[in-house]
Amino acid sequence: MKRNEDEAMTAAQLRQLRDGWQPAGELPADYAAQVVAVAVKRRRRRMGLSVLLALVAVLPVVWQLRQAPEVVAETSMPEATPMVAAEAVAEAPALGSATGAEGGLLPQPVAETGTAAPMVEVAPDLVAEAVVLRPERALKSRRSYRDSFRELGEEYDGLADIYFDDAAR
Amino acid sequence: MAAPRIADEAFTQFVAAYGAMARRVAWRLMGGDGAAAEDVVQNAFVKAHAKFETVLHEGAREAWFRQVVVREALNQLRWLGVRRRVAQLAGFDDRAQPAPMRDGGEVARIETAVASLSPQQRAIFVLVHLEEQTVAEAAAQLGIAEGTAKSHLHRALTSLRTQLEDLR
Repeated sequence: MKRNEDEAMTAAQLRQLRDGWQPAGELPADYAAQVVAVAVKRRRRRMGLSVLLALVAVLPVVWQLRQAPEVVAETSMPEATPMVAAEAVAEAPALGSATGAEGGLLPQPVAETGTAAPMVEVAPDLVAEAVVLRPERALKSRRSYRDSFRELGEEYDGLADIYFDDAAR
Repeated sequence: MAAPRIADEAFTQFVAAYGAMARRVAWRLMGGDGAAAEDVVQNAFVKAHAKFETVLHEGAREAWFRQVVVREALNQLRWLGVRRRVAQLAGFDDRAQPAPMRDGGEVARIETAVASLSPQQRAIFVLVHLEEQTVAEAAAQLGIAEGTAKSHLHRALTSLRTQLEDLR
């Protein structure tokens, strides 16, 4: 108090300020109830906002799933259902006839010499595996086919995907 | 949504016990702006209500609630400052009306001088010299270091001395 008296105002002034500089009136008698009502209202508003934000975040995903369910199916390994296998078997003769052979045409990896090989006929068993057998086998074949490119140090151009995609359907 | 389960009676007692303190501190920190002080008090009690059962222990309630009021007042002052700047940019003055001078005399001049301090300076002056807190307690309530609080207090007193020189 002494320091304050020296620096700014007298003790009497400070006391006057302390006693006199106060708000007039009092809080209403039901102030606690008013506070509770405001608190509940704010909590509800906050909850509503959270729900709204969650909906905004989830709706596009749901919409996307409804629009293109096959996209989701392709991103996961397809199960070997009887229906898928039957479809694959049904498509096999058509593919075979399209290529004019029992097998099919697949682009070959680029050789180490740097010259790209032309489309050549590949072993029928590879196509048979891709087309006729179970889809996961076909996908495995796709991987091994890609690996053969990697072993040669080349990048797979994806040309043969159509065979494997057909097999996977 | 069901209303939160609170001890209504206990909260009513809490409001009755600390309402006057909250109003006084908020009003002084807001420089005598009654409407702004009401907002501060309401926000502080709403926060207290949310934590009433879980956080507030009987012994620590007053200190905790005083801190809530002080910080809420500082937030309000910051928000008012932003609003004022925007209003000035937009071409109209949104400055709050100063606290009414009761008699145009000595106390009114002191009130005006206190109200003219910066928010931090006013807060530390009000807490230490009007609410009779120690500098350490006031610093904790304001969330600043004790040295910073002392510095603000020194500047506040220097400013008051300059403004009230002729009253000494």
